[in-house]
Amino acid sequence: MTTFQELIRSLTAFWADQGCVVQQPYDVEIGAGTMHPETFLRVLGPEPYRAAYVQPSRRPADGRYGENPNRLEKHHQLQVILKPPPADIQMLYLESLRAIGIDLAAHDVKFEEDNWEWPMGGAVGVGWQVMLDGQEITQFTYFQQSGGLELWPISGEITYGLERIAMGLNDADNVFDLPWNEALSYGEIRRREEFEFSRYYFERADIDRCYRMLADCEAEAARSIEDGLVLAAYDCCLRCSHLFNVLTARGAVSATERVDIIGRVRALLGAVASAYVDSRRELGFPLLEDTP
Amino acid sequence: MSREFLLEVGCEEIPARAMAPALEELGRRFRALLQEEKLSFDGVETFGTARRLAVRVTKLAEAQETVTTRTLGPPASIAFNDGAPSKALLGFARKSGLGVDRLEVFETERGPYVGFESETGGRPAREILADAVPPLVASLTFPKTMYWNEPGREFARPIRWVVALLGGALVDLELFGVRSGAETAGHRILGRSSIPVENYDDYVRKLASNGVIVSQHDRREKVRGELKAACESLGGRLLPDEALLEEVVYLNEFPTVVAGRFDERFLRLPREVSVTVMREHQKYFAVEGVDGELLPCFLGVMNTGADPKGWIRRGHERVLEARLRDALFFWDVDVRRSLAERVDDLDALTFHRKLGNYRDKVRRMTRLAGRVNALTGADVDADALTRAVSWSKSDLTTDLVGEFADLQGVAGGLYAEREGQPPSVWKAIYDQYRPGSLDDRSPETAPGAVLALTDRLDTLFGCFSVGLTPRGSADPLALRRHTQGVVKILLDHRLPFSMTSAIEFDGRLVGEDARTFLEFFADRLRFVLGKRGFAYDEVNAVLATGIDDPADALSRIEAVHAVRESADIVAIAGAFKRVKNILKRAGAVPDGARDTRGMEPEEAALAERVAALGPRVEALAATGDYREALGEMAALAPVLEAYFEAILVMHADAEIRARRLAVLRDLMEAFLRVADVSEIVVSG
Repeated sequence: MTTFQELIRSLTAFWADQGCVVQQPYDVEIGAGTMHPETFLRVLGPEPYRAAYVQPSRRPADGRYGENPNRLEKHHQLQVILKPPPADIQMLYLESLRAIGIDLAAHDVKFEEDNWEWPMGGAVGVGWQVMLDGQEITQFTYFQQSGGLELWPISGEITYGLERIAMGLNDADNVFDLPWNEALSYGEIRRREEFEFSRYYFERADIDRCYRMLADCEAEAARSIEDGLVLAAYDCCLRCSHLFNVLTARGAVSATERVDIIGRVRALLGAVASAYVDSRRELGFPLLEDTP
Repeated sequence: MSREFLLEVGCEEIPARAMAPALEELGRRFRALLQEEKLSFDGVETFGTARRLAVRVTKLAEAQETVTTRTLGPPASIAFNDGAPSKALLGFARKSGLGVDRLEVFETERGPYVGFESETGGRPAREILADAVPPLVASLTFPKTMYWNEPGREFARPIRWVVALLGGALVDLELFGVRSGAETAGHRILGRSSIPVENYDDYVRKLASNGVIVSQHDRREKVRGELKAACESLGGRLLPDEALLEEVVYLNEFPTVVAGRFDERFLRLPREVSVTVMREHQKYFAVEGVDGELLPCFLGVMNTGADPKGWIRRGHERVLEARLRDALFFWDVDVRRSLAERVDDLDALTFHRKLGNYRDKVRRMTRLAGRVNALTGADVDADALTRAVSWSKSDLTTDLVGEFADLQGVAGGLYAEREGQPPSVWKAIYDQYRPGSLDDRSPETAPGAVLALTDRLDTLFGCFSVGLTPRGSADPLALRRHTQGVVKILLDHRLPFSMTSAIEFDGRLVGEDARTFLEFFADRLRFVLGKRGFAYDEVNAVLATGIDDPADALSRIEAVHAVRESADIVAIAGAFKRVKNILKRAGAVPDGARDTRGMEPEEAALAERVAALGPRVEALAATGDYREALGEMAALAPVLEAYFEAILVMHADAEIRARRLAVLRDLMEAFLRVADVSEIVVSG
């Protein structure tokens, strides 16, 4: 048996040993570890960086009221950013699987093409989904673009789907049966949360109010960019993204609105990305090893 | 002396689907390089997996062939004045950049000349390969590329090692910052990561003992054999899938078939759904029983030699069950709302920003379908057709299609069948996106053909009317494929058609847009006919006389193809060209009298034959008997020959000239009802 928290601990320890800054989950609702500023912003500009952190990731439309054994409105990703990616990055990744107790010789591991994109973030990457015995357990991406900017150096991103890996490790058919620790199961801790949020996202979220909140966050993001407060602006964009996902799950976004909202937030995120690079440049890119 | 050259470009996993074309291109480019560099060789072979692109050249010459070229200057007789070099000789020496002492006298057929000999070639293969291999590999084309070691320098995936050995010795070169060496890498899990190799045989042997079957042919045979054996032990038959086979052959360095099962309750799902879930999402092969029903089994391909603890089979089974459970859930939820009820939801589904939503599309299609039905003479029951068209896009709002996009159309068809619709309706919806490519089948039924044609025509007319036309290789809306689909359906079902009538009825394409589309359409028609094995001159001959009706063009081209080698056709092709040229030079031909009185005998003979030919060709064309029509045309050859021997068409007398031109014009019009035979390239 490998508990959920043990899995997190071993993976984090592995990447800490690789020189990663061990970060904490971001404290704004987001849909993926990629949206954490430690990824979205750090991959911009020339400064090298390595980070690892768990990110609870909210996908309102994937909620199933806690009744589906595989689908969750909130799952956990363990995100690793290696900028620039070392040449042996895939080997390091396989090593990390061994570190969490996967006997690779007794499994079927494949790197299958899967090119990642986050249209709202103007982000594009090339990579794979890593399949373990037919299950996608990791998204492996070489970032090429973020916030609409070409990246140099590029970053390697490794995103582990923790629930899926834990299910494989424990031969579990139902995510809610996973042992969170020695005493409590994933279901005992999280099932009610899945139910409540599914009910909220699908049935109760107030459409008009959510649209107003979206408009407010957008306006606040734009104003913060003007004030040169990049990080505050970025938080507002993340809130926009989450509200947009809530409204989508609620079935309240028509196709044209969808295109409009994505376009508007993308423009804001593009402005944030450029402003972030500028702010780092003003500081003289302090993390560059050989600053002239 | 000749040697073996071995190149291996070691990569992070290249998308499996890109591998076969990449290896084909690599081999082709390599052969071209060696030929261009005049390096003789016996054979070029390429092989590889997702992690390696490899080339083996056998019996490669050690150096370029040397060629001696002799350059001659002035005749020896004027090269010297009293033993001293003449002006002519000095000029030649200067031009050649050589001293006079380097020049020699050569005996030629025209007497002795002063000149020199130079040798070109002879460059060592090692040098040429070191220079030429990096740009050759770097310029291989892949559907999607990335940069990693330098901005702007792209390849499919990062290159991590390079082996380059000529006759066992290292060829020193650099690819994307990686220096060549003599070490390859084995399977990620089963092999060592650094393995010294000496030559091809050693390379293949050592990789084999490090978990890599490097030959795609060997891997393919291994998978084929194991699939067959697994099916036999399951008492079933494999659902063959060559595209999937190719993918797993390149995806896995050591492919081994693993058989698994799923719960029988999922057999309640339509077979198409289960097969799609297995194939598209999990890359599994499906198996059917001898009764043709799906078995609750799957065959996966793992990238390792064995499954000693059964974990791999168990893992694949767990994933597939989760997928099938989702599919079954979606299926059960989806059937709660009928296709008719779902039509309202299409308002919210954008087809294209410039072309409205899917509800708009369905409305337009409903109108256009009636005309397509009439033009094709498909004579589909109007009520059934209306239902099929109206509900054709409803499945886009189902959860099943939301999750498994490849099931669009098929899902709608299955839901319609479940709602009790007759085959004329459900099969039409089911087949509406067929053919997916030129290798795919057309819709099975006539209503299916009409719906599939209508859907594509609406898309094409719409896109071309708002400027969404393919440019160069960019065709994001797959308009080439859609147009080829239209052509293929019309040809496969042998449906008469008139593209211009359809355009006119639709009403959105006018003027320049309509012309642009018709050119594009002609181009695709040309392409499809070429793919069917017709020669380019046959295609030209037939399309020169009309593209409006592809099935008619097919009948005509079949006739041309069948008779093109006959002596009569060869004769008439030349004569007809002459007729065309005369008419072209003459410009507008007034309607002259066709009275044969007062005509020369040869002229009268032709006029009589031509007068009969027009209606005769028309009658034969109406029944599609173009072969007979071509026979009638060919039979004119001797008459035309006699005519041109005796008659001057451009007679000084305007009236006679007009009369003669009118006959030739009638002849041309009759011919062009079938084909412009002057386009036929006469061999020998």
